[in-house]
Amino acid sequence: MTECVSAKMRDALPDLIHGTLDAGQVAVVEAHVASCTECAREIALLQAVIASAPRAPELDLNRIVTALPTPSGRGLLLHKGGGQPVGSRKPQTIWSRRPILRVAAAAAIVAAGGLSLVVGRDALNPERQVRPPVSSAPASAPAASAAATPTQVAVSAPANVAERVPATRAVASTGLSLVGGEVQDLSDEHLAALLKEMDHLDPIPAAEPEAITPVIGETDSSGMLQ
Amino acid sequence: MNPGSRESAEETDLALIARWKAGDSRAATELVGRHADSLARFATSAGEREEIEELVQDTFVRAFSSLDAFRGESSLRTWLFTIERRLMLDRRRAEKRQRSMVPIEEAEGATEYDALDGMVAQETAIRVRRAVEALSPMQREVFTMRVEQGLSYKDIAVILDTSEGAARVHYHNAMCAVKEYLND
Repeated sequence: MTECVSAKMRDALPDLIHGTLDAGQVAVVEAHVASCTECAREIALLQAVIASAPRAPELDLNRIVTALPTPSGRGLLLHKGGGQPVGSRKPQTIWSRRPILRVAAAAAIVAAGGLSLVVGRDALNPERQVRPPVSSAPASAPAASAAATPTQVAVSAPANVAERVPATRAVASTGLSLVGGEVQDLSDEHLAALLKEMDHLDPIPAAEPEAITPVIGETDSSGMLQ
Repeated sequence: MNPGSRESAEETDLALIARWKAGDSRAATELVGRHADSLARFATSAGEREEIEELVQDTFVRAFSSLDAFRGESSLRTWLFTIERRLMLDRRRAEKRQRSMVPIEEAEGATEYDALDGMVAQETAIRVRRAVEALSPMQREVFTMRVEQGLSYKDIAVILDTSEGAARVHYHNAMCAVKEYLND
């Protein structure tokens, strides 16, 4: 077999097969192939390579089109949804793999926020102040505090503030209520109990939160739910 | 080459892109219909066997999401191949494994062919495919792009981020290697 000296012709063989040559070029290359054994064999080889290529699967074009971004007409692209390329997707975290955890975390955040709101509101409402008994009243405590019952301490607040804030109450699972006043007002015993309770709090719920069933109950004289 | 026909095709692609940017979503359907099969074949030739439709879809999504970056310096098809190839590389890196070409199952079809010429054709196809698989990764990419996809050296150079001269050399080395394999 003689080596074809026309590199240009050999270069054009794949283009001849794929029909990307114009009519004039096709005539020139075909004339060369007719007289060149090596190029004729190479054409056969190229066709065999194409024939041996693995078949591509059938595509669902509608599915592809549906995933495309939507043109806005102003150059702004809006995704229809589900259109983020795999290659650009961020690595999946436990949060993205388990959506329930996100729901649980969100519920915990909302619960914590609601509790702090309740605590904050009660702090401004002298009618609802419930404070654990203190072993010794601080020197700076107002005289009204000393006269109050051990479990109910009134904190002086402007009357207009008390009117603006609705009465709320906070109920802790251990019976401790952190309302109003200063931290230093708490006894060491209650501080330790509070810290112990906080230690048991889990920032991330381990399971899906249970459905909350509202319970309407009686209240005692201090306004606490029975 | 026929630059005239290719240029007119590019103009049509560009016109479709302009229509899509103007808010005509049907233009996207036409573009997908025009290039999706080529992308699937390209991925298959590159050794991908799984989730090819997802790969093609991701290619289009990424392309349509960044059409403003498409300057028309290459054809849309070449640009799509470039995106798809990068996605394939990303996928392989993510999987941390070298996806080898799936070996042809010799039993597949061979025993089902009663006609002798059918068996010969099957065995020939197997030998040719093995010759292609024996190429170096770069040679195989260039060779399959040139032979199976019919891409020009210029397009191959763009996709592989190399020069036309280098693509040409890789192709001819690959062709020599394939011939040598088949002659052994």
